[in-house]
Amino acid sequence: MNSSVHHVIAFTLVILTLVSCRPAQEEQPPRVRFVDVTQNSGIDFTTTSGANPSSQILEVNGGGIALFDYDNDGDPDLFIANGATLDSPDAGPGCRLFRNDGESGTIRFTDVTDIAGIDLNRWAMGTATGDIDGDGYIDVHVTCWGQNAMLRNRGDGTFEDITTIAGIDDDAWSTSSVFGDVDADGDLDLYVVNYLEFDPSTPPPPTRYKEQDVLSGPQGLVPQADRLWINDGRGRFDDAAPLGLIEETASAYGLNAIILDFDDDGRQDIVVGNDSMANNLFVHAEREGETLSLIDAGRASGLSANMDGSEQATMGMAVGDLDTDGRPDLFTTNFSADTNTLHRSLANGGWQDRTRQYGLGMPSRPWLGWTTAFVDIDYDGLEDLIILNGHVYPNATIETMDSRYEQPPQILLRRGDRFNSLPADQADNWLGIPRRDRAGAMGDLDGDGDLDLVTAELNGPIRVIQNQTPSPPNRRAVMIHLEDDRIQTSNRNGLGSRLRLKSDPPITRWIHSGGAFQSAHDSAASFNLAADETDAVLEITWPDGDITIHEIDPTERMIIKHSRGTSVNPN
Amino acid sequence: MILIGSFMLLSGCERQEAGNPEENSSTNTTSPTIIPALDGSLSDCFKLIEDGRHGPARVRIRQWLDDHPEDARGEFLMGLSYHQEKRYGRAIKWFDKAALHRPVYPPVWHFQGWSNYYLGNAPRAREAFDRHLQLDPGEGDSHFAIGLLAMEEWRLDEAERHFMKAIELQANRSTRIKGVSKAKARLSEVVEHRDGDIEQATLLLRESVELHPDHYEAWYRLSRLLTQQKKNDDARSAMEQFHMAKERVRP
Repeated sequence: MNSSVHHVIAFTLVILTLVSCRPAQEEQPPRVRFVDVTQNSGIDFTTTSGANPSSQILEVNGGGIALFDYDNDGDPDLFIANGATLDSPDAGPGCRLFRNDGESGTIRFTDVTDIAGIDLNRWAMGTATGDIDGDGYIDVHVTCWGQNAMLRNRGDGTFEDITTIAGIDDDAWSTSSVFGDVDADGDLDLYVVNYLEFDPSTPPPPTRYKEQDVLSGPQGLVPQADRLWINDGRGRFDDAAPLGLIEETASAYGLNAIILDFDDDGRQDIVVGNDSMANNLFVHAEREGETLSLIDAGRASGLSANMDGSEQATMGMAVGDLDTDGRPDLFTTNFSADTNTLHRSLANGGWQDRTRQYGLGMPSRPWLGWTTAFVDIDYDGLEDLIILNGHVYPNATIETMDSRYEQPPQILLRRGDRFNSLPADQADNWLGIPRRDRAGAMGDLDGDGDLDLVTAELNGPIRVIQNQTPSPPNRRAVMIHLEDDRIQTSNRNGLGSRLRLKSDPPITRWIHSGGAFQSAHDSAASFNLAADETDAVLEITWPDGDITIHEIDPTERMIIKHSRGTSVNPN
Repeated sequence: MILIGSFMLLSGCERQEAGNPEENSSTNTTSPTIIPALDGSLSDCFKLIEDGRHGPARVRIRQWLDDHPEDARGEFLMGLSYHQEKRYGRAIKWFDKAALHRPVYPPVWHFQGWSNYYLGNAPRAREAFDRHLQLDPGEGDSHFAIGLLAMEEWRLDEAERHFMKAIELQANRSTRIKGVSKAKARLSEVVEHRDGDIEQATLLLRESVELHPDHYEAWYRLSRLLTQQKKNDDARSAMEQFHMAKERVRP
């Protein structure tokens, strides 16, 4: 259970204040501007994931990306999990690390892969970030087809591969991984999502879909079991399954996961998104004592399938609080000819499919969605949606499969309880262009308080998309970062924390790992406030249940520290 | 000559991916619908489609269309053959042609509506179903479809009207039991979400699965509602029925 909860009125430390210059706006929603600034960003990189076009399922996911502050200089840097090719699956062009060297509203990256000592050339799939040893520097886990890798951040700008030392010997085809403190001992555990057995030397023959020859899988191929790794606090991990700490469930075609307290019992749970199979929701069983015991409540809770009981192909996942009840609702992206799905969490721990109510069903039918994220783009206090799309079958056309191979991303703006697609011509040069997008991660790249985006196209370029949506004169954006310096925790960035703005209605965000397809958003929470709101109060529920209350200062970026069991006044 | 035939008003038959409401075999409806006379050759083509032999059907239809260019019945059947394969992007081109060449041909609009529905084009789907009802006001499945479209817009009163009409129009037709079943199941959603009347919603779902025990989606929803009411034994039983029905329909 939770540690004892206490409330502490705390002050906050403003680490960095960047004054943005924005044009005055009329009293209407601002024009949404997501601008592709890749050309001037210092990133000129094309991802590798087999051949283009894909002929085998190993090639279709592409590689993930992570935004995280590896050098603790206050801005998110970029890690790219890059793939390989079928004829040489263990020797690809390698993963990359780009340092964010932008200043004052600009975005500028520098390739520091070699300097950082990152030499990972296996077929990398996904990435998760978290401080596994509590040294204050964020480490990187990389999922691969084959041996995964744990890259420890030494804190001097370099990384070391500690996979063997860490004891993480999973050599399955892993897609996503996610950090969280599932055993509530103050350190970050790791859930690795595995997909299926695939041997490039004996690839399966094509199969049929809508009367077309298509690449095989996942149906017909052998799914692989996920792994939960329990951290001993020093960055060494034990497999939870042999210890009986997690219910053994049928292996599934896993693609994604989020660790968060989904049932409001004060303990972090695990949602797993599976491809064409039931999703899992591992929650803590009610048992005597403190022994960790996670059981799959996916079916019982209603989260494993959509409202009709159909098990979908969950790719992307995003958490938001659509009904302002303080509990996380879950949006998932799915296959074409199906709908994306919004599950609303209920007070009794159950979930209800409310896709239609929010207008998220029918408009999603032509699209095959991947990374998605809730973001309040237009400063109205309601979270909007960004979705990256692209089909897996190169021969997909409207005529052959009712869906195109290359698909544009979507921005869905929320008005009341409905989400409406933003027309492409209303969002500058990024939105309307069909691509093979897969991974994406959000973070405040330019320090202006709002969320920018980096995307990875399958066998295509990494793109840097700057959010240039002007804040209305009466609104402002602020990015909240957490630092937990308490001795009893090494979860320095507060993964699993809930941030609740005491407004009417209250606005809730979570800082968590996972959800972005094979990728990691920067661990921060974005709020948009009234410009003259000088007494905004934020309640933070830390991963161990500790609650602190803070006033938000008029800045673009705030770091809220938690030290020695209480919040402190860093000033 | 006018032929009164038994015509499959199918919302779909099988699918390879999950989660597409209404596009499943559990709620197929068989509707006696008045269709214009089919010449012998086209009648044979239709039988091939009914038998699932879509490729051979298309060969025959193409031969027909070579001899009878712009014949709406041939174009309609060509579209129907793709529709039955769930290839809506291809089907709709033929339905569009047929609608252009013979706009008073009712089934074209019905199937054009469903194709647009599955392609995610709500406005065009609505337009087509409305057009169909102008030509054939007694077609309950088009009312059902409009009800679904209203649900997508969360216009629950409108959805209720159309689901009720779908039930009324099909209630006394033995070939339309599945249609009544699925309309009741969707009506239960309206009752649940608009009125918060869980008991009535549960009752409607019970009626739905009683009419059509293979309607696995309704079993699933029934199980969820029973769980919500903490009727755990009944919920478990409904979930078992869901799995059995799904296995029967989609083994």
